[in-house]
Amino acid sequence: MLSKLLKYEFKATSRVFLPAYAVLLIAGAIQKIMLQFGFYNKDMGVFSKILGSIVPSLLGAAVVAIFVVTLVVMINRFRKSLLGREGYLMFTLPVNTSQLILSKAIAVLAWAILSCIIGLITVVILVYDTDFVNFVNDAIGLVGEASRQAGASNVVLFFIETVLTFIFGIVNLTFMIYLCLSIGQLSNKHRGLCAIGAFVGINFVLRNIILAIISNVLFTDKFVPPFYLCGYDTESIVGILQMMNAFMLAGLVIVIIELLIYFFITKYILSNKLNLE
Amino acid sequence: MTEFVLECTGVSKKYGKKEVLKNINLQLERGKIIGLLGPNGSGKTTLIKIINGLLTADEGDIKVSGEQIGIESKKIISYLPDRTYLADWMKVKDIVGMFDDFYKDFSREKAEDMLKRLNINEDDRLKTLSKGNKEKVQLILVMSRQAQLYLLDEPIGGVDPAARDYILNTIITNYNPDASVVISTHLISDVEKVLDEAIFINNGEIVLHESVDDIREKYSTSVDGYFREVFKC
Repeated sequence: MLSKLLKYEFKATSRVFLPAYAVLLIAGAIQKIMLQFGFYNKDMGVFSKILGSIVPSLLGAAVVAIFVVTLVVMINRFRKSLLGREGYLMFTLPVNTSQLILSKAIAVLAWAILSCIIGLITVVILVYDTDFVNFVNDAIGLVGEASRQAGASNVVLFFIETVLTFIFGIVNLTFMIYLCLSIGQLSNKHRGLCAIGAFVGINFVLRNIILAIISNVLFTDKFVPPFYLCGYDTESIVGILQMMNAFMLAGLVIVIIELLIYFFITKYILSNKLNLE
Repeated sequence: MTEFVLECTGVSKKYGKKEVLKNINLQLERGKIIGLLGPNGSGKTTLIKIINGLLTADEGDIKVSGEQIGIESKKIISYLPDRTYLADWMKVKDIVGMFDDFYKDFSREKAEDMLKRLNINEDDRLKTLSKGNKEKVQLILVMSRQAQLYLLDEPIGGVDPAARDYILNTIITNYNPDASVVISTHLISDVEKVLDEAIFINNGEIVLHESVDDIREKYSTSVDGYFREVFKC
């Protein structure tokens, strides 16, 4: 059933994302062509001036729009399709609440990743020239050098943790928003206000609790000694990388614990305290 | 198969301090068309939403064909809400496909046939349909299922009298001895002719649950007439 829900979720969301991607890529390509042929430098009077200001601002707007759209879809697909009148259909389908929540979250995660890839492609299209190729070669060389010095496994681990932090960071934000909206729908009159209140509350309270736990419980000498006592050699690349990897791992664990908490409370509210308009 | 298609025992629900359902006890047999009749705000919609799992009761127990409220009960309930729940961007055929995907008991041919009868084009976007036509599409979807319990909340409120007749006919011709249809409405005179039983609900309490024939005999008036007497303002 989850695959069926995903099918309809992607159908519903692709209407928004695909045109946005198209605008971004087309604007990027036009800008590239303009730059390539030195169009902006040629004296073509008002026309080139107008185009020279329209295309870059269109491109900038498209980049911003993609990320705004991703965030708006994250919020609205949950708010409208589950907690709005479409919820009357979704919550009477023979599926369970977890599947409903996951279908929304998986779709928005896929779009968020795709948005970043499309954004990256646009940037590459724009800046692609010999300097860029040299820059990439240098970067690859640097990574190779780091692998030799710090051990390939440490570098690979660093990249894996970076990617995982990005992915679970998105899921964490998604589930936090879902939880806030679910708390908001408990109110009969001020849903939006309650959701915003929940968002502020969760962020302030939870961040402070986690900070307190980290600084007072975890990172004391007893459990995890502070990094300068951990034995990491902060003078060498290996030591710094190992330390960074350890910190990222700890951060990742916290992010995952948080998102699980968000998910299960959301599931509980939608299963037991559903209050559709 | 259980004797009763629906059993509610001691179902209560409060919104804040306001009691909207008070100790509802109800048993519905199979093969009946039942009117759930009551004035506005009497608890009709709340009861239907609880049976559907859209709301949770504060107290009490509900069994649909012996199943607790959950995925299994949702498989055998066909629900028409009192509002349109269709996503505007979909085409009629998209939502038909969606029902076909999710409900095993859905008959695509039946839905397509009814859409044709009511002159609704499957390629039309739901956004472009009138309110009445949207309601018709929803009712067609709901009645194209071979469910055990149909819960129709105000099914004829927004459509013209001609379509009303077609809809009521659809409900009767869909008759299945294993299934029951609950129609919640306050337009009693329109539905009276198709009803087997009537449930009067007022202020969250069931005040009467009898066969329509018994009502007519006992009180020597129509269900509509008796309703007006009971709920006189």
